[in-house]
Amino acid sequence: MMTGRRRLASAALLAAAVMLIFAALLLERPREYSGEEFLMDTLVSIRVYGSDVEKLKKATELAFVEMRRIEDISDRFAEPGTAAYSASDVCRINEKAGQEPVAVSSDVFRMLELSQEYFRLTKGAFDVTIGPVADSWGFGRSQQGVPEKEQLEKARKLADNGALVLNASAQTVFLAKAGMKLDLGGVAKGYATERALEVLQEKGIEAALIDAGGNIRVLGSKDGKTPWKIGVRDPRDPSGLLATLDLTGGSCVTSGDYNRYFEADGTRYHHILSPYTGYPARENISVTVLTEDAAAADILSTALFVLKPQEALVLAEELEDTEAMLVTAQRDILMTSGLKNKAELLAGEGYSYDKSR
Amino acid sequence: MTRADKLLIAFILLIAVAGYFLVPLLSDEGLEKTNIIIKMKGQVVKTVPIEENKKSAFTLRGDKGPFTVEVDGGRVRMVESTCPDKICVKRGWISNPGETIICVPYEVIIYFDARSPVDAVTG
Repeated sequence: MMTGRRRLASAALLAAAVMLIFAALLLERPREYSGEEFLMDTLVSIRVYGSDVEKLKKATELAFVEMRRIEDISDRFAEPGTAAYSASDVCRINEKAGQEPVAVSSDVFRMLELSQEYFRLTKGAFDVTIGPVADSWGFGRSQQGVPEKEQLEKARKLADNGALVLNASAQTVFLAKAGMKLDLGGVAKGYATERALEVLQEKGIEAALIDAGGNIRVLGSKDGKTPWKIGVRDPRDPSGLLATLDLTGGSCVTSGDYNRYFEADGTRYHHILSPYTGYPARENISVTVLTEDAAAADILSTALFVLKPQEALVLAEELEDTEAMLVTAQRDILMTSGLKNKAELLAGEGYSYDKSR
Repeated sequence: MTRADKLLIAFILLIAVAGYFLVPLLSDEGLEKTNIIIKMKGQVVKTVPIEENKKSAFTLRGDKGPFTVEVDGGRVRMVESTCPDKICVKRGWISNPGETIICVPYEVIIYFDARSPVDAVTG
């Protein structure tokens, strides 16, 4: 028979035990750690989930270090004579254009191999040799303007993908014509994002979201079951969303005509230049690509943006594990068949969407 | 153990389990936005409480130059910036949780202290 006091004592003991269990459960709950840094000309935020905050923090820091390293080797705007210039593979390749092959890091070589693979796959819609054309418009620099026709034609002759020579056994890169320039702007951010994710995985992270200025790569899930909800920006109302997408893995990248542009004589000129014309591509206003690898998604969003909407849609359907959503210049919304059950359209006014297509 | 003891145990366990699910909800930020946060180089440099119909503008000085922010009730924009690309100014007004104004050259971020309805935005 328990006395009243003993009963009270055992109840208190029990309460204490339960509180301890409760505290342990709270500690067990996945915690979020996030970091943000300005790099690659945008704001990069990394969110990781797990129980050990120290481990999360360390992994995030290392992921940022990796992204900065990729930025350094692919930066094409470093000032000659600086340490940044000699650290940049792209600057060194461009400097030796028309002279000799340059030995590069495995990362830059990998980016170029991937770029060339997609150059062929997209029939030239994605071209890393577009540097001279981008320069004639002033993109990436402080002064921008519409180039003279002659100047643009000259630049276009130097955007010659056939004159980019990759030597895999020596890991060298050669631009065969003097004046040629590589521009990794359409792949480096995606590649760096993918590398950052690999670093997180190497450090034992199981759930993460990397957002490199709208280039999104996810790993696992916050709670082990719910997909990540990604908003697609409305290309004509930056404060609104066009759609939300459920992402259970892989990456999601959007190219739009509204992010980087300048105006001249009442016309807007945005930064996604068509390798076919040398002018800003006008077929689409926003293209979102979902695929596993963030570098591939980065490249494809640019390439599909340049292509005619129907061609782009057909290509996206053909590619394995690739989905796309396009907003054409006429504001028609097109989606690959696999995306239809993952996307929720929010845009009403001004856009048309034909389900049967 | 008496019946009362068992009841007590069950009761405490119930509270613990309920707490496990409820406490995280309480500790999360709400969907309601209450403040505009301005961060420069990773540090919060200004917090502006949102008040209906209240307009204000202020100029902040980064180490690379000044920029001016305008607040109008629940929306905010970068009116002027001495930065080279002016992407932040072209962004215009933002008014929804999850939206941000970003100035890369000056390392400035402007956002609301509310939970976004989505995990991230692409575009």
